[in-house]
Amino acid sequence: MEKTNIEVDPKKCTQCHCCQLRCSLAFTGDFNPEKARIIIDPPDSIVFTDECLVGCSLCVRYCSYGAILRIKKPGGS
Amino acid sequence: MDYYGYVGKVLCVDLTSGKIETQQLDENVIKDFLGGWGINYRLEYDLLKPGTDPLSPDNPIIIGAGPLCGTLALGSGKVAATMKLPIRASKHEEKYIVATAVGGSNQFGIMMKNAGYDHIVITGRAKKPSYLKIVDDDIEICDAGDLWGKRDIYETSDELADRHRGKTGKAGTWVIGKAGENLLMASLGFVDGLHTMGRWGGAAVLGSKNLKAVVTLGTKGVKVADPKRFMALVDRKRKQIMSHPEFGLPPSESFFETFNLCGIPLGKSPYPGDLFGKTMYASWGCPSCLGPCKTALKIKEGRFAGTTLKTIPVVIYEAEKVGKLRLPHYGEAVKLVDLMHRYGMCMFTGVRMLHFVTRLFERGVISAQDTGGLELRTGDIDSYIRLLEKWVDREGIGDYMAQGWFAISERVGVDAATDFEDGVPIVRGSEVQHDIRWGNYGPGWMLPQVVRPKPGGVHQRASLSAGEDIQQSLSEVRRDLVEKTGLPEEETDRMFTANEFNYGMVLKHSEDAEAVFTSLGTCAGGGPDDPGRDMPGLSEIYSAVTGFSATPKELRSKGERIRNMEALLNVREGIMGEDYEPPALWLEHTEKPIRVATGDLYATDWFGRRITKDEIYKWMRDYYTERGWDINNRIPTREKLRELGLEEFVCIVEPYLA
Repeated sequence: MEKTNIEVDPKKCTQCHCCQLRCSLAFTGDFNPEKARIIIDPPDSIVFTDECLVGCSLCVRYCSYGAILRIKKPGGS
Repeated sequence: MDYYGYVGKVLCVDLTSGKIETQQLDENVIKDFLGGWGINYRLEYDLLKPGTDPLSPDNPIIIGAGPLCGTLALGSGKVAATMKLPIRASKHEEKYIVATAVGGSNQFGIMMKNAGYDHIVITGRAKKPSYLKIVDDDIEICDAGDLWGKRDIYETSDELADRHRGKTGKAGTWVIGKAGENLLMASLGFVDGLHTMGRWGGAAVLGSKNLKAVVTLGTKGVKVADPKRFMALVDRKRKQIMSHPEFGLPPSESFFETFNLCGIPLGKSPYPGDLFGKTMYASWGCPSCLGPCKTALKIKEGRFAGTTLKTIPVVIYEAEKVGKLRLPHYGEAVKLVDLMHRYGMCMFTGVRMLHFVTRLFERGVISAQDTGGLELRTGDIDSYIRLLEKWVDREGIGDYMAQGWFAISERVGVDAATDFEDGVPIVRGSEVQHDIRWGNYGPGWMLPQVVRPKPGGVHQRASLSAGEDIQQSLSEVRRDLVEKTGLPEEETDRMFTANEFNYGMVLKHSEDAEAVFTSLGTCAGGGPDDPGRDMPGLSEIYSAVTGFSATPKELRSKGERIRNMEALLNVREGIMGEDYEPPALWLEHTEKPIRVATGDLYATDWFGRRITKDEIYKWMRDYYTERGWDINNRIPTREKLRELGLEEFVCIVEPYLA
């Protein structure tokens, strides 16, 4: 799905899986990357599944490398 | 019972019969041996018959992923593979060490746990080239006819990771190359096409089983006992690491040059100062890592423009300086290491044996008749590549190189273990990882490679302190030891004086701590200040993940039990006493210098003070005393085994004790 609040740069992904691990914990209660709502295939792509929640940005918080970023609103913070 | 962190299951696969079964992991084994390599060793004791030929179907391969693997605990992607290694450990007797290879992983460990297994035991020998597919409960011994002998390490890893990819990413892989297929002692396995596991012939054990790869994918999830508390601990640690001034910096040339050369003036590198800036196009790490140590380099100029290399960049300097191959262009060093990786062989052994054979040719000890017509020259990439091909194909002199240091030494009539100029320090049949002669690594790097069955690893050093690389102050080294092992400071009083520390005494405690870290599944790195090496923090994490409580002291005691179990497995194979002698070249180096541009270099401690043979032996005695072991035989005592709850194994050491 298209996330309007997030932009991605898969070339910066280090394959740390923190996004998938945190996402799966939130939505399944376990660490289970295959049940995460984000598909990582660095350096080619990072995309979100149809189950991904609009507005959620948990993955952004756990990406330490700038591969998943919150889009800044014009004039906002 | 319900497990957290652990799955509680062992997958057993017999490649000969095709029998596949799942066994429950005993709760007491889990509590006593923690996981990963610790439990691997306990399983190995029951599964390995003493005296087994390492390349026979009866030598089990045991893979383990610790309880933190698959969670967000920092740097928790470590996996471990235990087996009897095929390098003959003694020139005079046919005996072999039992050891554990430890590697990072991206998918392999996580997916192994998610498929539902803490450990995988592989025995037997497949009738034809095969790979083992583990996708949840779908376990299959698959035909590898399209891969065996046809695809290199990277091609095989990519093919299998894609062939069995899941919904949100690739499958995990552990793969061997041509070197493993052809049973080279220098063979090495690769995890997820990036990390390494299975050195010193470990990949040859897979090759002897006709096993090209193990593939993992799973959807079952890793449960944590107290997710809320666990995430609070993780977030606290992440915040601490991300506020570190070095956080986010890519592995830099200066860091790796310091790591490798420790400031010793071996001469300025001919390679450009901004090598990594020029060539690095990506940085990769393990799951939950905040300090990725792997890089992808691409050569942009010269004859090998376009060559890429995925590795820890330090290896380029290993090829050029420490290995003394003297390749004039950095692209050539990258090309050579890339070729070794594609063959699935260890570049440390690779570089050093290429150098040894080449120098013997230049010294006139061997001729073109011996090399099958090859004219070998130091610094000549083409002759190195041709010799490498002969080695991997086991052609002519390459067949002797394939059999290891004892065989090639006998073939050429020069013992590599005593040839000061061009040989290598050898312990138990293998060359050491870090030759202290070429890096001023000092006793803190020397001793671990002497007293452990496997001759050292990249990260093991006596004090656990980076200070042993970059010459921090003594107080900083002590602080690191206390913080990382959780030892009370007063317990370290007797190990430190105003001017130095006792490497032997300190090593006992760092080894026990390392056994804990690696068994739980955390990396020696994981970010600035090695966040994976934090015993007090891990004590809390372990409790939140597994629901079992263990104080730092109790964890260290489990680490000590694991280290003793490692020793027992090797005593059972006859590895003891003189098998743990320091390498002859290191002893010689206390009295004989290496000549460099700036003068003569002798063996020194890390303060630059010359050390003596007597001191080396004293530190070793101090190490065995601190362990509570028998100093003469260098094996555990009855009393120590009883103290650690290992009474049932006293019979192993009994025949050798007074």
